[in-house]
Amino acid sequence: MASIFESNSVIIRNAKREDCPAILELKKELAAHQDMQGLPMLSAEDLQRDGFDTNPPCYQCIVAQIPPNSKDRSECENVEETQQEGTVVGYALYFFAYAAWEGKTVHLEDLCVSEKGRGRGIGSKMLKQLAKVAVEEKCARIQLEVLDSNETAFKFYNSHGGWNTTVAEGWHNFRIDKEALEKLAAIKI
Amino acid sequence: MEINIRPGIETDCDSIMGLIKELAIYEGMLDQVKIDSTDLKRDAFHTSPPALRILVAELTAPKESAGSESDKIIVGYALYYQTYSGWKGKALHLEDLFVQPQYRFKGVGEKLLGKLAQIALEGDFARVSFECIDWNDLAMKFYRKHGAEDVTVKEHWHSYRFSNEAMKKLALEN
Repeated sequence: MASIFESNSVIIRNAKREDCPAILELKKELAAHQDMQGLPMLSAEDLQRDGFDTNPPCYQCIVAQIPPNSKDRSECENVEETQQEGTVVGYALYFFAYAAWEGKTVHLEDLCVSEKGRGRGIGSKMLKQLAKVAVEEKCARIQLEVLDSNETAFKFYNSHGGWNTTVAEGWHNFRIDKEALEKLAAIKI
Repeated sequence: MEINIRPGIETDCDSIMGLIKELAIYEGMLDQVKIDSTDLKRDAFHTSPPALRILVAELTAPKESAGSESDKIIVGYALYYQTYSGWKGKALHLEDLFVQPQYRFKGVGEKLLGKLAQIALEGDFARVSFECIDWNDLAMKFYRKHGAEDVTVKEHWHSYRFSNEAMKKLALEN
């Protein structure tokens, strides 16, 4: 699958291995926005291994790229030149999940647009591209998690037709971390 | 009562689908079950990589007489799949865990969760996540007892969804 969207200043394309350092930098921006900066996170090497060196890959990712130095894309001779020279200013990391009552779904793990890329509708373009992928892959829905302090994200997802199932239906997210898993794994089965 | 926890196989799918519907009835949402056992068989056993994985709790009923076959019935199941955390790497998500009411409080759910924990540790998965609806006190108590943390309460994560209709609308706008 090689879905590419181009407008006069943005390319939305599948991520490549060499995009991982840029994705990591954007992740750090996202972390700061979520007030989670300083927490240990994956490295660019982890992202490369998990997304490109593992079969099947652990995740899928699309990126948004703009021409360098706000150069008008029409000045670039071809798409490849643009891709080589452009700057990754956004990414959407996702994977295929499963809903017991509906079948295959898409889980959007991260969607981030850097300050540099704002104001061009990039978040919207990436979400729409993701929706296109979900339809092509016959997925029942898209699901994600949003921090309740992230008003920008709430407005963004609400405006695109998303709805908060925690508020509307009472769904809570739970996690069992390593320490608790080790205790559980010791149960006699 | 002898309970065996094992990976689900294709021939279990009819029974598992029956139990999925029992869980939907319990949650008052049977009309929202859109898949059937054909879908389950395809998604778990004829897709590469599998879209989901299954554990079953199989009860062996005592033999009625010497020489007779023991009856084996599936009384519980867990559906799970692999996920990816942008922070921690690969992880597992528990989509459903259900034990028939008449077999509850006998450690069956605990055994299913314990087996999933073993799978998570052996596969080097960072954690197991799942969702639980806030009125399901029984489930919340069960999961908390086994070390699960409510990150909606603790870290303020909310679940969001784009329905099939909303998703298709977005795709057309692309």
